[in-house]
Amino acid sequence: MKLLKTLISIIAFFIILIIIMLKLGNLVVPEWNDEWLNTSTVKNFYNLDKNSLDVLAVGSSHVIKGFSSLELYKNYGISSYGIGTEQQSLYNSLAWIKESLKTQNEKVVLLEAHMFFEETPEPQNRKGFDNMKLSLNKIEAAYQDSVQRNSFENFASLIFPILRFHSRIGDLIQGKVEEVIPSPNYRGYSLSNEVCGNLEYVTLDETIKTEKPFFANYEKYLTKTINYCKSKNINIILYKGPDMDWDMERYNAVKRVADENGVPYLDFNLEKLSKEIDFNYASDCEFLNHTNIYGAQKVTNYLGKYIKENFEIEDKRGKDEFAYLDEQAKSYDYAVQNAKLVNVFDPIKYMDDLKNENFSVIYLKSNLINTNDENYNKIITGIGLDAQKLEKPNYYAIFENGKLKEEEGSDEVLAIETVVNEDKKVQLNTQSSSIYFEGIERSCFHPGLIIVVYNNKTNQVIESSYINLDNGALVMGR
Amino acid sequence: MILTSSLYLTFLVILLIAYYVFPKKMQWSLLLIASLIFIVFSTSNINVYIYLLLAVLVSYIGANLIGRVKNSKSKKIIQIITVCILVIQLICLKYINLIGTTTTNVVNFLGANANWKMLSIVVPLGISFYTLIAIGYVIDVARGKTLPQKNILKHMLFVLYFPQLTSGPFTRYPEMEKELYVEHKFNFQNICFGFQRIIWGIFKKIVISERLAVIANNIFNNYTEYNGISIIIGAIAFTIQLYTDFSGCMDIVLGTSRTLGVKLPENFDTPLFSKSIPEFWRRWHITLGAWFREYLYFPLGGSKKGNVRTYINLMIIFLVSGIWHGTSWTFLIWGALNGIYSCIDRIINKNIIPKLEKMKLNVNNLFYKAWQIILTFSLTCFAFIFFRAETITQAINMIKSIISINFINIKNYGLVLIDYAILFCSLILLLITSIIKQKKDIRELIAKQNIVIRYAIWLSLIMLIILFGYYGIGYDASNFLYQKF
Repeated sequence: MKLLKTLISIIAFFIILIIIMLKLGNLVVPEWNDEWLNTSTVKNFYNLDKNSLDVLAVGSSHVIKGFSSLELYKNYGISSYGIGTEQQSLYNSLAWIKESLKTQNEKVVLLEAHMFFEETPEPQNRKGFDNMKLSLNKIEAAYQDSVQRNSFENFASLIFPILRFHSRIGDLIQGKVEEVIPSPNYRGYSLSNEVCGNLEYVTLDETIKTEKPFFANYEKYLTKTINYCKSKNINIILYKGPDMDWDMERYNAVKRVADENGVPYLDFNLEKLSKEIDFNYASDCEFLNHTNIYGAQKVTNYLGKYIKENFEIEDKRGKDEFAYLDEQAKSYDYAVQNAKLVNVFDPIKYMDDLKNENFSVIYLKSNLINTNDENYNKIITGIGLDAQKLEKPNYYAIFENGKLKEEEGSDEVLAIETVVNEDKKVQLNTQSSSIYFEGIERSCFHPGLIIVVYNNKTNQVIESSYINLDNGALVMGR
Repeated sequence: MILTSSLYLTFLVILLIAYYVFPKKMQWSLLLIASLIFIVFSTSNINVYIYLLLAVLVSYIGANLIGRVKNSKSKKIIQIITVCILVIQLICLKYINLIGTTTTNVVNFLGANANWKMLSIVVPLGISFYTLIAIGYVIDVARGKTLPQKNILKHMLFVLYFPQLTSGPFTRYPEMEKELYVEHKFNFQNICFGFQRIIWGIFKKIVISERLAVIANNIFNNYTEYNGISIIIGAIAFTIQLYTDFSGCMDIVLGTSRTLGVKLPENFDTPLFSKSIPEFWRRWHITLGAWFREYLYFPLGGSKKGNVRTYINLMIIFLVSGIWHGTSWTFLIWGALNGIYSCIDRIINKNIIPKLEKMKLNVNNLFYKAWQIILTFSLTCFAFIFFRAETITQAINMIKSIISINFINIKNYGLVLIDYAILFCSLILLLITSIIKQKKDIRELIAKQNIVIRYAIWLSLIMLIILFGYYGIGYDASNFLYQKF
């Protein structure tokens, strides 16, 4: 009896200790919601409706920037989620697949191959673990990771993040808490509109037959992951997104393992596939060797087509229980619209794109403008501005939801205060060429017609730009 | 294996489970296996294993030969040879570069052109500890205070017993054979008190000592940038750093041993409250002082051969103690200072205090005691400047610069404000526990409380370590200072 009492008191002590450590860990783990969205991706993952997924994509930043779930839904009616974290290790990927099966019954898993040959650095590794709920899956992955790193401390701190981030408690006491920036929920996708313009990319040299060895025990672990998916009746697809660092030796290694295990492997760095999706590295990738929105759309749409052709997945579009996906897809579309607008450099196309019913556009004439050019007038009338008013030294116009709301040209300085989209305050001054939107200066202060574009749906000022004549040529800039 | 690491704690938990689950007659074997695992986890250098094995073999063979021969002269010869081999091993591994460079300097001073190429030797962790323990054992056998251990594995356990291997305390075989080789029943209080002591030791090390280390390191490593009060702060910071570091280490060592049911001798008794230098040395690194008294001071004649010989013996003890601590002449100066302090104390106690008492001056009042504590602490801090400084010149320059006047700007010492706050609160906690400890056993006191209070106290202490410990990424925590001696 005494022994039992002792045992219970010891167990109680450790349970209390573990609970305190876990709770404090939650308090100090940083919010990693930069462009890689590590924290919000994981948090949103845990909030998914039960049994609502058809497809789960796992992997590193190439999933975050290269797999667009809402694109897949929009075009194929597939409900999916990308649980990508920075440089996600294979141990972590399998843990996420296992975690997903606690609440989901996905039919397809897409496993991105980028990290099969690399060690995940400690800081990045944490981002895949720290927001994962404590479970046997997490413990197993942390154990595998720590064995590979030969670090018991690593294991302890992956399970109890307070051991890693305890120094932050001092910051919390002093009130130094970083601002949590709300990030849009595109189901694990981080939208980027950067265009790298890099022309050095070439597809794989398919004459090479040698293989690069997998990192640590990853070959075994990849087979284990494949077998796990098979045991759960999940169709696993290995894929590799477009990647300048990828090579034929890595392709050969992954291809062999895929063939040995009878699973498909889609590599977008092969010439055939690259051509099939009309991939152009210069315009479809951003600076850090990841696909931008253009590239992600191409890759995702191919994957969607492949999944639709090979597996039976019900179209979820229009179904009441998936109505929220329609809403998410709409927001995603607006965001894509915003993102793509920034990459338009042809003034005529640009002005055409601005005639969007979701946009509110403010035009302000800067004092150096020349309105006598033929091209310029063509644009002006195209947009629907009054050329006569525009000839006046002081001019402004406001379009709301694609329609002209206000326009005025005057010999006197115009200082206007008005609202757009019901309550958004706008202050203009033609003398100083300034445009204050909700109290923030948005003018780009450039000679010509200064433009500020606001998206009514996403409630964002998308950009400030101008159109002007430069040595007789019509130019636009930002 | 770092004693404050989670690896060590896991190692200990696994050992304890095996220790109390397997048959009790296997306990000493398990301790030996654990000690060997501890060594393997601490170093992968094969030479270190050879050095350790050599110390075990030499002391084993020497002690057993002494036990076999009847002739006392032969016993003496074998004892001397054995001790010499052990001392030579210590000198070769630890002091050879010091001897080489010093000899070269002297020869060069005399006009020759010699050059000493520094030897790259891996010094085994705790060599100064296990060597003296082995020497003590051989001498005890020679003196007939104990019989030699016939079982070499048991002897190996005595020399390499993992909790004491790297930092002591210095144990003596007659006491340890009653602890190491007997069967220990599972005792929940031993486990609780042992772990509580380990937790307290970790707290002292990584919450207090590591923060003080930042201050001390900043001042000592950049001493030319500091002067006046900053040097004093540096010396005080180092003294308390060393105390919390070493006594924290001892708490972990003794706590570990207690969980195993093996009682080790205490090494600290709140030494910073000492009222004289000799008292300080009776309360600081107690077992080292006891070792030197037993195996060096008394054989030299102790205090029984007149005043001059007593003072000479005292100086010898402290000089040897100084050089035992490190391979730099600064340690010798530190030892010499402590020797001088002790001689002066002896002179005052013999000649001045009796006269004061005759004059009916009360030397037992509170203010006088406080003055004695402050004076002893100041002298200790002063001597520790030599202990911490890299060179004698550095120590002298630092002492010279104490007389300069400067402003105190605590931000210059390398810590941020929150660290100073944590340090201050932790030192207050340490002071309170040290005061209570002089009258009562704190763990006993806590054990008498109800479960809620007990749990709250120990959980709070663990959380203090986890939250405010100076460990992990972003901190540059060091190993225990005494492990390098």
